[in-house]
Amino acid sequence: MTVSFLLNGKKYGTSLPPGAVALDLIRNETQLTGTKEGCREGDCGACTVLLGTPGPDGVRYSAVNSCILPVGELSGRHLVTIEGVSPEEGLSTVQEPFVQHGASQCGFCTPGMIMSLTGYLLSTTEPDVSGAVGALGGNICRCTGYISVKRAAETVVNSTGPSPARSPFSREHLKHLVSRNVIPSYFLNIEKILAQSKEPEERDSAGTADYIKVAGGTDLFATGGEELVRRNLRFLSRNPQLRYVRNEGEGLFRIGAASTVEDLIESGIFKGTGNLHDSLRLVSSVQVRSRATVGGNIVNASPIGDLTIIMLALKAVLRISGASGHREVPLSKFFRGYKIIDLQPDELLESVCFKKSGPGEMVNFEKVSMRKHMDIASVNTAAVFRVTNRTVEEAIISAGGVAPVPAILNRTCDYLRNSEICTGTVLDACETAMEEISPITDVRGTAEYKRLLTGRLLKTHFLELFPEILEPGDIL
Amino acid sequence: MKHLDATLHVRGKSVFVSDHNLPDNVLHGALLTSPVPHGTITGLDTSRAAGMNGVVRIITWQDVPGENQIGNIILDEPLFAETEVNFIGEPVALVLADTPLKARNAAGCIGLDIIELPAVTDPRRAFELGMLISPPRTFSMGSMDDGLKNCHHVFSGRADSGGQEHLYLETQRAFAVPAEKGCIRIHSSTQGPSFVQKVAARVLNIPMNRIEVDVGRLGGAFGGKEDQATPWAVMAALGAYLTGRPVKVELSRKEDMRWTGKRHPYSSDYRIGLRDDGRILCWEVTYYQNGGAASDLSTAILERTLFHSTGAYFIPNVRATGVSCRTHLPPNTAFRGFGAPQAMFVMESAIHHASRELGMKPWEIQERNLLCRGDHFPYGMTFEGDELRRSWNRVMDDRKPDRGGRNGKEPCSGGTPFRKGLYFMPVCFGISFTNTSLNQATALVHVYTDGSVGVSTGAVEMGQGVNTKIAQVAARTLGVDISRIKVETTNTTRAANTSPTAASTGADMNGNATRTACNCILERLMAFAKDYMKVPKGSNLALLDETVTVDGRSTDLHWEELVGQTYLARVSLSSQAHYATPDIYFDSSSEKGRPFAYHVTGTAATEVTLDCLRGTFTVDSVTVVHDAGESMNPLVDRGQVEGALLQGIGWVTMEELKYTEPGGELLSDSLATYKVPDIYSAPDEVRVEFLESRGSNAGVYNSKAVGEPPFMYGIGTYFALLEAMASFRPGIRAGYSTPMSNQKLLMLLEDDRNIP
Repeated sequence: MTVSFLLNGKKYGTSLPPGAVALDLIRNETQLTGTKEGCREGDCGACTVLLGTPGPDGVRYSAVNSCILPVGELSGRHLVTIEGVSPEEGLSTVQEPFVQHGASQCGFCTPGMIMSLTGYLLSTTEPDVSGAVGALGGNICRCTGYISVKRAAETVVNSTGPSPARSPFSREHLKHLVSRNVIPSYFLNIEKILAQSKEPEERDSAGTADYIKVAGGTDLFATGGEELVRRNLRFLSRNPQLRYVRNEGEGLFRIGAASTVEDLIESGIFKGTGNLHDSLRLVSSVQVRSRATVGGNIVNASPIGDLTIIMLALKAVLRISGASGHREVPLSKFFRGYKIIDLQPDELLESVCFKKSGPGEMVNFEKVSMRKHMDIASVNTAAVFRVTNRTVEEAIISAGGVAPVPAILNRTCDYLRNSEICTGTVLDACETAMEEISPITDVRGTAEYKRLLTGRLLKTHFLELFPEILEPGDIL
Repeated sequence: MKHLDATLHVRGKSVFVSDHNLPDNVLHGALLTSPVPHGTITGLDTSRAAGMNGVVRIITWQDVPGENQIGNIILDEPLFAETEVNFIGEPVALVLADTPLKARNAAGCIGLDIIELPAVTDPRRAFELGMLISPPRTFSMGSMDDGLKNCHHVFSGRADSGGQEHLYLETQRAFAVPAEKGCIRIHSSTQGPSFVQKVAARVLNIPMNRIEVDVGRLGGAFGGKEDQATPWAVMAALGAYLTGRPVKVELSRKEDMRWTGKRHPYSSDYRIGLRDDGRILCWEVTYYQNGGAASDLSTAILERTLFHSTGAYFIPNVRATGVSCRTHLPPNTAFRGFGAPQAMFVMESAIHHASRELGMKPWEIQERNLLCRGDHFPYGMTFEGDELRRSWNRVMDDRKPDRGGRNGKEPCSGGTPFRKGLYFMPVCFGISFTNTSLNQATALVHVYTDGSVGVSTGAVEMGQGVNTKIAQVAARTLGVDISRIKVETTNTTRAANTSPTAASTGADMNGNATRTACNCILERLMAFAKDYMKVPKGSNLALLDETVTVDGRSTDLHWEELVGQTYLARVSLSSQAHYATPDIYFDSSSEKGRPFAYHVTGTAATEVTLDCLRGTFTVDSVTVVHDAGESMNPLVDRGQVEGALLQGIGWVTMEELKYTEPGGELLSDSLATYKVPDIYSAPDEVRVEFLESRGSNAGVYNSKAVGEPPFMYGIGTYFALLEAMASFRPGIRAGYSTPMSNQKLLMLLEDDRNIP
């Protein structure tokens, strides 16, 4: 069994198992050594490559970590390494400013940064500096302190300029980037070549043998490594039935389980729903967000998943398919214990359905971690309030990192129902919350800290949502 | 002038150790290491692992032909554990197999029986138990007793600073290839090729000339590859020697984090005595250094701590004592700053402590005690120059409220939970290896007959731009374009008996050696040109822009013709030169001398915003005024300042090493659990200004070393956070203990009794 894809400008087939990672293929089999290994768990970005996926509107490119990208996912796609974005002579518009501004010292992280920024320019027609800096959020550099990197990113953005194209996936946009020397001209042929080379049929080995379902694989391949090479894998990420963001009317939304975090950002589904849209950028790095899925975040059952915590507060309902048809389970009933979920091995989480927020409802998300970005929370929490005349009609507050499962703070919610929003209520609610949770001490903080932090983040919900009623000085 | 390697880096064309094409018969090494911090080995069974598919050889201490010893200053570190283990990750056996996976799997199948013994991970506890790496040392000046009589105020306290993972992006690695005549060629990611060579020869029991170490470049090092690149390189050499096949040893990120040493954690007691006006008269301090299980460079690092015990200040009466304590952690090692950041943190803690008690601003005390020309250090050296004071004044003029600085307003007070904090951090750092004998370097320069130039030195390129500076020195000295210069790999057959590239001295020393070698060739070229052009005696010849000038006038004798004709006249176009830093000495019996060629100074102002609700913060701005002398390369030097600054900020804030207690097993052993600054952690605004300065004769072309000193500007962030906390909760007693993690911030803000 060969996995066939385009590697930079050429067709390539590998007989590596689908569960091997792309980084090993790139460095060991093709000997393109520009791609570096820094951590092998998606946390440094040194191995960043571009993955181009053909679709109805063109080829979509994402910057991804090749160390946690299974080879099976390459099938029918365009894999671009640093060698594939370097012009034959001279430097690209992304590369040159890194030299000019001294943004490359030891050089080990540099190829990954070049790929992340190139990926950013491929994903937008209106690049700006803050977007470019955000695109580098998944690239760790230990030498530069990033100051020169920011200067380089600014120059890259200015030299590239806005694109006349309507869509970043269009041929027009690629032409623009070719004309600005951001990418080599062979990119213009990729869509055609990918269309010609027929994508092998999805091998749906469900029911046949023992297999592992892989959505984004960002957690699985960060921890599972060598065992996955030997296993049968079923890749879910390109099944259109699992990847969509849909408005079903009457405020109801449905998200396919294999939709990625970047899909959610791109869809703008959470725009206007409190701070949720911006909060999505607190989920890991763009490389991981381009792969990590909503369904994966939920079935992974981490007590601290950011999306899970948001979905819990939105009273999401899961649609699960199995041999005997479909069933629906409220997310709040899905977690039975630490990493124990209401999902049989032959079942599949298909979609997540929720109401964004109704009239009079207010939403807020808070997360504190050891480092603000690209980190797992010490505590995260989402809150949805329905309030009339300063009185809480309903409050749903979820919290992660405070129990064996992603939790709804039921007693706190009960307390808040029919309470008037005032300093006393907030303080009592915080006390209730801190009493009802059961955090444990781990590498992300002591139990004592997480308890205190939960109280503080609850206060933050109130201060963010009701600034006209509450005074920080009274609450703190 | 750009970093010469950068055009390769951005294309992914630079070759690091792992980017070499390896021969097909290469063997991959994997290690079995100690799972416990302290114990006696009672059994080691390699039979099952040895029979596994693909396994070629398993190596233990019994296979070592020479000495099983990799120690540097003190010979106390075995390459492979023999009868006891003293830290988690101590190598016990090396498996060689035809793939990395097979080697790793086999290493996991070696039977290892250990009787566990009690482990000590706290340096003060180790001190109580008499577990010392070397006897305590004391530097003193003046008289504490007399000084204390004149003090109006005396404060004492404790300050603790945490360790720090180097997190070079390229983990430790090396490969070794057997060559004829029983020789081994080693490609190592090391800052110290000669040290690797020396230890490999010692372990293999062969002469040093049979070991060739070649270093192309390092993917970051920061001190972490000064001594601790050695074991892996020596293991690869040993494997190649025993099997006759190439051997590669490469640590995974987790292995690297768990097995290798870090910046030394320190726990210190201080006593500071001041007059009413803030003048510091007395300074007494005892440092308990957590050395880990073997000495590594701990004693040298402790020595630098003692040199920098008074920071950027003059204090007339000083008694500073350092104790290097042996614990059951991986041997701690060099890390940018080399003991000085730990010393300066204690000094600033004491000043902050005093300012709080006296109701003064920290900067008032700092300014009153700042080093002036002619002041003496406790180690006998005199402070020269006015750059420190000028940098201080520039930063203060810019930032201090009552001098019209920008920090006049406090936009975050009142009804919001946000508070600003500002802190000034003056730095004075001595340049030279504290071990005087290491202050030497060599360069070998070849001019080829086509006019191209090859330069070999002992300097290792690890991103700091030393090769760029060396190329600049060669081009400037020879009067040719820099495109003619190629800086070669660092290789022990071309640069012998070299010091590690460390102590910020790489460009100074190797640059000066290069300059001498180039001057020697230039003199020969000019002597030849005099004859060749038949210019009158007494004329003054020089090379300018690749053309010979006579008495300042251009001629039509060009570099290429000159070189070609000089060769035909049978004049050597090569030169080797040696450089020894002049006028430095130290007498360790009196602890006095002139250990440093010069000092690098500067000042930083750091402004932070603290979110007192969530217990998080941002560094808004850092203004740095720094003395780089007549900088050889402002772009490279700026990069060093900015990079060191953020590393320093990381050290005092988010970078937290977490261990099991008891047991000392590292929990923060991945990038998911040990957080270093990312692009969002960088201050919104960093302004770096280089002071106009005459520089130093010991620096090359009057430049000054730049690698380490700016790290200590980062310390200001810790105290800026304390200032912000105090503006939210006046009177808060936060104590002095790094790192100031988000957890610690919030716990302190809630209740300052939460933290010891």
